Amino acid sequence: MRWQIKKVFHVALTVAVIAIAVGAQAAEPRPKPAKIKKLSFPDFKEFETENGMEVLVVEHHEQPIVSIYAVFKTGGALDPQGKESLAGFTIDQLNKGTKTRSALELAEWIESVGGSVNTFSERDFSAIAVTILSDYIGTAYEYLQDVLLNPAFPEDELELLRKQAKTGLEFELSSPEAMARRHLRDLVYGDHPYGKQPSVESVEAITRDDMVAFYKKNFVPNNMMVAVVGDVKWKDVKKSLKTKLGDWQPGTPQQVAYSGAPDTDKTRIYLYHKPGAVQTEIFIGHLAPNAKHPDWPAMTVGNRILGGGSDSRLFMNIRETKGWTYHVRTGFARERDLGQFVARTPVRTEVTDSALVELMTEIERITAEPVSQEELENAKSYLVGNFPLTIETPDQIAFQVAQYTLLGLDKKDLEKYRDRIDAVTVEDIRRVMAERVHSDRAYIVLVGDATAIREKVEPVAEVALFDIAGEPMSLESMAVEAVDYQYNTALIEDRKATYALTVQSMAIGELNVTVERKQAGGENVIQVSSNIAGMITMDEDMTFRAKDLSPVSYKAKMVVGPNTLGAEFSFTEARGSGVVQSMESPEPKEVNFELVDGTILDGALEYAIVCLPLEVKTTYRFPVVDSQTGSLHNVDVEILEVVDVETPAGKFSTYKVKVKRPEGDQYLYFGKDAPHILVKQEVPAQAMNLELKSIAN
Amino acid sequence: MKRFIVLGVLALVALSAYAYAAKKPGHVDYKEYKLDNGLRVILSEDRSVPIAAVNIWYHVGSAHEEEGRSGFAHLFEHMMFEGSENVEKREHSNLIQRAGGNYNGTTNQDRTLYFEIVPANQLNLVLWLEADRMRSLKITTENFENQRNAVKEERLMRIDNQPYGAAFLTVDTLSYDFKPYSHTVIGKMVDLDAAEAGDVQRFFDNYYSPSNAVLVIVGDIDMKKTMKMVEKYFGEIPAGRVVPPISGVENPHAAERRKVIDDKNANVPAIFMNYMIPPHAHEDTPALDLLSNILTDGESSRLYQRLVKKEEAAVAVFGGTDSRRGPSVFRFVAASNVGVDIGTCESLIYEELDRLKTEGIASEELEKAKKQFRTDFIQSRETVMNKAEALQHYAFYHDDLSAINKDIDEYMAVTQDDIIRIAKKYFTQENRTVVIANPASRADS
Repeated sequence: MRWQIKKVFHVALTVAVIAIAVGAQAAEPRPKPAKIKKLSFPDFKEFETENGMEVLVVEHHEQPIVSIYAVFKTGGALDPQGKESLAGFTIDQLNKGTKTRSALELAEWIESVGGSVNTFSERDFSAIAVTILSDYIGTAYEYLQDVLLNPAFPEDELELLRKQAKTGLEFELSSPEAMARRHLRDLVYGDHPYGKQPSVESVEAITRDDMVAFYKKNFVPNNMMVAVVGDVKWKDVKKSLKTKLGDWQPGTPQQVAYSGAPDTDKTRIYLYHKPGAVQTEIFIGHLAPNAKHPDWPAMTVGNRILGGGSDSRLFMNIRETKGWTYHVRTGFARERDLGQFVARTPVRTEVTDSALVELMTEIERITAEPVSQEELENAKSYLVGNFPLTIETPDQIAFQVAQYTLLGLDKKDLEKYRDRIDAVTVEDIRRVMAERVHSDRAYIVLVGDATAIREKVEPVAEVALFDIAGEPMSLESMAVEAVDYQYNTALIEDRKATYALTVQSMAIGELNVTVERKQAGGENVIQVSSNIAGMITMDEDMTFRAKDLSPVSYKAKMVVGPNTLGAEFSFTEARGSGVVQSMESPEPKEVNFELVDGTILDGALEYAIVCLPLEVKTTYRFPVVDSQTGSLHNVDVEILEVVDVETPAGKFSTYKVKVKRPEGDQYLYFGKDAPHILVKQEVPAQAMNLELKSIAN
Repeated sequence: MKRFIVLGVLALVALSAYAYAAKKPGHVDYKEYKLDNGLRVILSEDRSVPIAAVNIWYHVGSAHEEEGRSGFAHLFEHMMFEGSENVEKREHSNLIQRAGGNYNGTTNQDRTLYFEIVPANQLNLVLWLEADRMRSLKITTENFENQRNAVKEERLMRIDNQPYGAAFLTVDTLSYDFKPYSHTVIGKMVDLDAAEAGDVQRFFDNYYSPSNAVLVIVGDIDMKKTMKMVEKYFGEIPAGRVVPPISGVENPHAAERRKVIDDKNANVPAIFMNYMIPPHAHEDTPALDLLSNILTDGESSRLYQRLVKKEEAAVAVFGGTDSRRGPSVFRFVAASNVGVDIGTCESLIYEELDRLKTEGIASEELEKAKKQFRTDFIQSRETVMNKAEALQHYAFYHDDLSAINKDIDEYMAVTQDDIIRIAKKYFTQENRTVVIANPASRADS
């Protein structure tokens, strides 16, 4: 069947004439637009070949350039479970070797005449495109003939692609935006084919046989559209396609079973922890209708008002009024099957909760209140006026037409685009946005530093916590960074030491410390026992492993005036458990907490520091068990300088080390000579001092 | 007192005539004028679609910033959307959008540009808006604070929260002794915090004047009517200060510069490498651009074949020149494949550069590079916006607008010997700056 559409758009906006007279004052009055010109949608030709290819030709002879797009109506939605990326791999490998040419020979062939080739894959289509000077269009047809009909799928090229795909997934993991997008897609689509996403496992599982089978089944002429745009004549295109691809046999491509999208009845926050992130990526999303839905014009205008441009409500609110972000955007994705509504903005960590509240408020408002007539007119005038800017180049024209073909839309609607936008009313937007946008049934994805934002966003909705890759995380382990230090534990020698304790220059008592190596449970351990006798009393007993300082047990009791404080923990490899009794919780409280790699006891910190290289300006971070709360946190340590210190035990040259703690910094002074005995400790905030009085082995 | 504007009384200087004979692909017709106040105006007709592109370049960029005010030229670009005498805050962009248009601004080391693309019947609105803010920018402390925040967010988003953000900035700051280019366009947070609203007015007075700007209009326009409009809206704006172009050179480097960055945002190691090269207008630029085709354009390019295909060391490799008024750079960027040391990628790049210097290049390979360049060259002149950009490019970086239709010949004239000579001249150890971004290991900070 052969047919041609000529599309004529009469874009009739306001009419005015150019004022040619001007006043002498410096400022000119604001001009009115000139008379608008008629806009005809550029000519294009469509025809179908005998073997079922749908062909689109856009002739444009301004520059001697031509592009050929071969688009298969098959994409990632058909990836088999566990082999996600198969469609993308298959299209990518078409030009990585044919029966007669290697990948390099193919590249040389097309690039030696200045041509370039791209492949890409989406959910419902996969494409290979060649752009070339029109003098060499013959080369482009021959090239496409070879890669479309004779791909060899060499094993070594597959292995290389697999390696690159894995590196690509590593890259993705480092991009907060990409991870937010990925997690939102997982949540919104669930088991629906649009929820399929590659993983290390899936790219490892793809075999050459999978690609060959996928190619044979789906990359057939009656499952494709060919768009040829630029400096060509449609009759020549027809002839060339018949000569080069006419013998290619049609087949029976697979059909996608579109189902499996989850229902949701409630808005929840999915928080993905990226330690130390200075910004939070906020993505809010849920399902939306497919591209054919009659509400599309009203959705387009409504979205424009909500967050579609830089005059939208959200842009004016969050960026222009509040200055919280660089950009904020909302949109409905147009898909062959279910679409997706997404609102997104990256904001600095401190304003995450405020920005989220504003986003949710604006989303809710557009579903509840009518938009103003002015907002409606502004949005429509942009969408109508902008249309000619989207059909400037032959590639853009082809994109507009191809989009309608691939999404299965009626091309008459392309013709009526302006009229359909123009017909949208205030009431349409209220009705359609109320039906299509859901602040009460949305997935909120946050990628940011959970330690800084979790509590603040809890009032908005229930929060589930994950690591950046999407594994569930517990609150306890959320904040804490693991470490992997190699300790020189030989420096921890058996000894007995006595320290003088002063608070606000008042002598309070003596601290006695005994360090002893032992065997326990078949392991070498170090036991440290400390006690204070005086105005306060304290007994502390801890055991940690000699090889890596990991905790075995801890027990402490302290009496300060009327208060009794204490803790008792035992440890497995992954967890600690026991009871704590503190100023905040005077009654004994049970605790159970996760450990991260490299966790040490708070009291073991002074031994851990000296077992690491002591160089001035070096910093270390430790995951530490807080003995007052029975939880894990990081403690940062910095070796400041070498200073001389005098204590009752004598004069020492020492490393002065700062320990950063929430309750105030501590300074520890370690002997410069091994085994780097602690000779002094200061806690300025509490005016507390410990000074070495005596030491014996 | 009213007066009628007649084209004949305008002080227009038509500096270039149409060349009708046998236009080469990618040829751009244009006419050039200069208003009394020094505003340079370049018009080009393209009636294929009823749209028009307006593109204004102010010849000021981060190179003109004072000490302690890094990032200011870009911050100022944001202020240009905050209102002028007859235009409210944000009204500029709102009016453009309501006209169906697209707009934006960008800042680099040498220039700040503003553009609009609109349906052709809205051209007068765009010219009026651009003239109003050139004449009478409205600067309030509140707007300034707001845009300072937006720019800080932009920095967080583009640099501080992104993999390779720090490496990307460092390779440039480390490369330059030439003062105007030795700091970044986005600026330091501390400098952004230190900027004051008073600085904005001073910057405007110093740099945002007709004599320091070039206005380009391309699209479905009538030249005479358009010039009438330009004269009407821009003609009365005082000429302002003539800004001398930045001058100076990058003195030859004595030794390679190198830095390793622990990048807590990155998961994959990457290398950023700059070789110092002369300003864009230099005669060596065509050979350098073709070298970028030879080395990194397409799957058959040398570095792609060696690093990505043969050795499977890199997942991607890019290279090419920066267009600058002053001393420029030839960049290479590569990222390692999983489990490959980035040092391997670095040595392979050097091996390939050495091979080029010692073995040279076959004539077919040079021809391939020229054809690739020519295809890109033609393709980059397809839209009204691209044509406007090309006109600005030649007016500014080449100081010779007519080069827009002759430049391609310089590229086609490059010889095999030129390629060897240029590779030997610039790809030397002491002439390079290397920054490696390593994923920060949490254990050894």
